Amino acid sequence: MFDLNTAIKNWRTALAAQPGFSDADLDELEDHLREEVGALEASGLSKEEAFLVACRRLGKPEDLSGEFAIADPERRRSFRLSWMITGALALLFLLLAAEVLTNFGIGTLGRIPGDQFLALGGMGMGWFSAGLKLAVLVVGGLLIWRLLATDRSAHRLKRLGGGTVVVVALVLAGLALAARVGSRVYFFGGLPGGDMTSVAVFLAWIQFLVLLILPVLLLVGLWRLVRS
Amino acid sequence: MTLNRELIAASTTPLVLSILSRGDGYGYALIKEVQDLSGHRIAWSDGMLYPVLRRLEKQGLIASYWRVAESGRKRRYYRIEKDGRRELSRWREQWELVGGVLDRLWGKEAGCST
Repeated sequence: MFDLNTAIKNWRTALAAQPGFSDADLDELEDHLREEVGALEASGLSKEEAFLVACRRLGKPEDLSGEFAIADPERRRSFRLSWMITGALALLFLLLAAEVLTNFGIGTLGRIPGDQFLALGGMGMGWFSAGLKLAVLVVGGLLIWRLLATDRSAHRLKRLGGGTVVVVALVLAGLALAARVGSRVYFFGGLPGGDMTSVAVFLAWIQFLVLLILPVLLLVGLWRLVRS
Repeated sequence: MTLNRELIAASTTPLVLSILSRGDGYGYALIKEVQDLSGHRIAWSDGMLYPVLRRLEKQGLIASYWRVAESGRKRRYYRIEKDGRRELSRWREQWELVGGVLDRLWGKEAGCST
């Protein structure tokens, strides 16, 4: 049994997978399609026939996308570029967030006397540190993955190959982090704690704040671009 | 008779601006109006109009706004801006010039044959 709403939803998803359309563009095209279907139905066609004819008249998704890109070529370029920059900065942000959380955690917990399990080695280079970093990365990675699965604009990102890029980048980041933690455990594991811990925490907080602002700004820019 | 592609492309902007200068409208209605006025001989492919509207909006010749239509759906309407009216009168002069020259040429030719 043909269901118009389902058919239109599928049509819209196919269109959204092409670059170059904003939500407003899709709303407008859907309104057009529905109006055309209504007019064709009134002239005696069945719902399904009317839908097929209306789709055909509106044009194939690739052609439409191409027409929109010609009308506004900057949009596609800046769309790709901002995704790339956002991805790179999001990874940096995740890594630093993990770093800072670890240092902060150690800075606080390290002062608890006698707690050798949580403050291994005084500088937080032990299992607690590595575990926390990994946990933040895993949670961050899952969040990004979820965004990719649900957000409509992410369909476009996937189409551009961005999904694979993000996954590869996350895996590489995980490897890099493991190497870093491993080497620190190896080199500094034996050093006693002290003033260095608080200096490290302070520096990390500054980095954290700077890198918190950049992705936020970029995301706002991206949001406005997608919405416009 | 149908219009050739270049002429369709060249006439799209003045047609859109002319229709909007008579009152606000939305994409589907613009397409239907051109079809009706031309006796279905100017056949725009439906999808091509929207990028044109987007370009005209970017150039500041028209502006768009959303309103709920009688159908209950949200619909994007377009209105002509001051710059759009100015652009339209420029288009009009040019089309009248070309049309006038052709008229005289063809009128003269017709006159010769009598």
